Amino acid sequence: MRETCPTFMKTRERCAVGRADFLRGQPPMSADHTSQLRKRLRVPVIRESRQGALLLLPALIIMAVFTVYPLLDGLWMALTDQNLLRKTIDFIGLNNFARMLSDNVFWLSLEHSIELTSLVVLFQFALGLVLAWAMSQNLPGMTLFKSIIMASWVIPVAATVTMFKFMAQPDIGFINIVLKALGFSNLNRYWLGDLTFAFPFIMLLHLWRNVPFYGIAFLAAMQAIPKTYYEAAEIDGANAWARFRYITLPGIRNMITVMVTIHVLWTFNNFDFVWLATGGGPVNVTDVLPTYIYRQSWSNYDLGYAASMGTVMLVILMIYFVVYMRVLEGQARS
Amino acid sequence: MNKKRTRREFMRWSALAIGGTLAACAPTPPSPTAAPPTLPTAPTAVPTAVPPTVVPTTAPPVTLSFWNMPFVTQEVSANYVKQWQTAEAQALPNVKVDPFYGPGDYGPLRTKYLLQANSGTPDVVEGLLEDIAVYVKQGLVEPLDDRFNAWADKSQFVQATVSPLTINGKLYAIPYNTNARGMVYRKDVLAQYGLSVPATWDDLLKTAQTITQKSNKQMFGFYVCTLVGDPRAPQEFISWYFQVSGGKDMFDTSSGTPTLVATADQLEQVLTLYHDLFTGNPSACDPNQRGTGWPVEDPGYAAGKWAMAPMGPWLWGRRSESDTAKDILTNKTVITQLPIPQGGTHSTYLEVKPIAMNSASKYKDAAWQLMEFICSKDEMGMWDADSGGIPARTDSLTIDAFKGDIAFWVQGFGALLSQGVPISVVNWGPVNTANMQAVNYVVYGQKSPKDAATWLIDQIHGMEKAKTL
Repeated sequence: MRETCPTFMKTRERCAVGRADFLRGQPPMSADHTSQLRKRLRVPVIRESRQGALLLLPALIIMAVFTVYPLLDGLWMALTDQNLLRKTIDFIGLNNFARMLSDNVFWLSLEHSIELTSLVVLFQFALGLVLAWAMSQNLPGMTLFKSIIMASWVIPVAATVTMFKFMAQPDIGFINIVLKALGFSNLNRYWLGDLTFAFPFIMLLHLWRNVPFYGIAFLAAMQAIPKTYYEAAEIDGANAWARFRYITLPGIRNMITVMVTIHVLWTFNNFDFVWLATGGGPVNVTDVLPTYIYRQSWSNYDLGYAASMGTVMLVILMIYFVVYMRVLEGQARS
Repeated sequence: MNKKRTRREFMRWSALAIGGTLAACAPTPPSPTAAPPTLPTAPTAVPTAVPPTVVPTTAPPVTLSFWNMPFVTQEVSANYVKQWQTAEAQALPNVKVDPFYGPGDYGPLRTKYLLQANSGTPDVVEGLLEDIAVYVKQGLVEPLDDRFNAWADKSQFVQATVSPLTINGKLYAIPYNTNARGMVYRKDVLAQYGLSVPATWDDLLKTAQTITQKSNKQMFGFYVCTLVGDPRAPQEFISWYFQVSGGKDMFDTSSGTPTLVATADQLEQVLTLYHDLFTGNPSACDPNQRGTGWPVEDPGYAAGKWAMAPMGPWLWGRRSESDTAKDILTNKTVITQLPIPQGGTHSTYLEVKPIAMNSASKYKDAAWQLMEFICSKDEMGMWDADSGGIPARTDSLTIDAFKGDIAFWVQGFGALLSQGVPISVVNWGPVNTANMQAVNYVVYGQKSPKDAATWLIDQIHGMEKAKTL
């Protein structure tokens, strides 16, 4: 028999009878007694399922206001010709999406977004694994190293970009000073202004910031794997690679799933690194969808077109997420 | 009694706490005593007159918001800002100015003003001439004809600086700073290498390349802004264009709708100049500075990284950065007109920096008092003297701040005003982006000047069709 004290009460008097019994530690009332008590007090019966929903209501309201409404508004905006410099807003259907088909910069930005996301997440994963493995060894100074490695994650993005822009400066930047010292002064250039190297430099910014995060996360997952597995494998004659492949990797599978998923989403949506470092230039070589959308919104004031590109980003990420989860679930079942 | 808290109780109290917090954080309703702002009903409609809110001397101070770029980006010195604040407090004891002077750079300032001007903040805004056209189209700035005409100081303003701010017969801002784009050069460097001041584009290329070569690339001969989104870069672009077009704007706005009149040949000629400046061995401009803007141009010249650069009088404010900068700017720099192409005319971009009133300001009378203060003889003069600008008032040039070292500077740039051409009332944002994108195609070798000019023409025609100009 469950507690019968009603959760929502209109007046203290109505609660008095039920609460008095409850606080006195009386045994739970019978269903008949409860029903009679409710009728006498005219207290509404609230099912537990509804109680849960009511408790979730504040969080749902926040989500509705700050997530659902902007999402729906953005989807609507994508179907209009809304422009910050025009008062009238007309419904134009799929015209914005049709315009996208012939927009070379959109396709270039999409290509860069996919390229950046794929390469950056792949390298972060690989380097993060290597870093985690290194940190799991008992090497001198490793404790200190573990404590400072997250500095790159803690430093604000704007500070990181400013630092790297300085380092990339021609003649006086740290990178060019080192290259000159090594006898490669012919490589002196402004790395973020170079058509060939600007994009890889943006990737470097991502790696510098996120590889330690991967390393720490994978290390934590590795440390949760029982050592007895490794001991048993050693006894069975498994070499280091076999132990890594058949024990470590499956053991950190869940962490890999989480890290890859969130970093694909974060990297695909990443705006600040590219905007602060190059603005999408030179000549669109580092342009990604978020920066192109930003320029359409705040340079051309074409909010409708920008929203349509945002919708495309949303669809791409949703498809990725659904497919990825299905693949993982399938693997987990098998 | 069982004191153990149940999970249900915990969830209940948590929900009540969250709900209470949200309720407490809800925005407070507006004060019933504040006058509601009047919003324009159409983009070009004259805002409905709001009964002026008089600031009686016995009333508590009114706090106004004044957004401007120079106070934030230190185009004027920090000392000058303090001095300005003190002077304002003395001159207008009932008008308090919020020490937050806005987001800073003109791009974010324009965007944020477009988004939030209807809220009434800021009350007064500084900006670029090209911003005013956009604000007027949105009905976000107040016509000032009546107030300006009633002002005793009206006759002190240079008419050529007031005219560009008169749109559709109404005055929408007061000029506080003006200049025509010229060129600064290092007389010591030209003398050192036996070079004369370039008068044509061809001379400019040869002279700049010679300086780069003879200094072994320690100093490049010239610098131009090429950053997409930089406010200075399109101003330099349009200066070169005016020389090719005989002082005519890219657009004809006589019919009310902007129509592109710039030809592909004219734009190709301008883009060829940009192409030539970055090609050659050695090149006139540093290839590593492609895609940079005024934050590189100004300190670079003041540090001796380039010998010549298109420039305006604001560079004077950099002399306090270092002894080198002071020496270069006060002793080694000469101001001259920009070189012109064969058959070109001496025409250049006329910059007029305006101060405007927000049409949704709740305190328009106080805002006008602040504008009168900002544009008064002494305050305008001291602001421009500190930043190296040229006042839009003739009497401001007589103040002591313009005597001494700065005199040659102001005279040099003042002599170029007659060549200045104001730009037309167009939404220059996307046009400038396209102009600089075409420049980048050319300087990075992605397109030939001819193809880039064709691309640019197509882009602008697209804007005409979409009616975003």
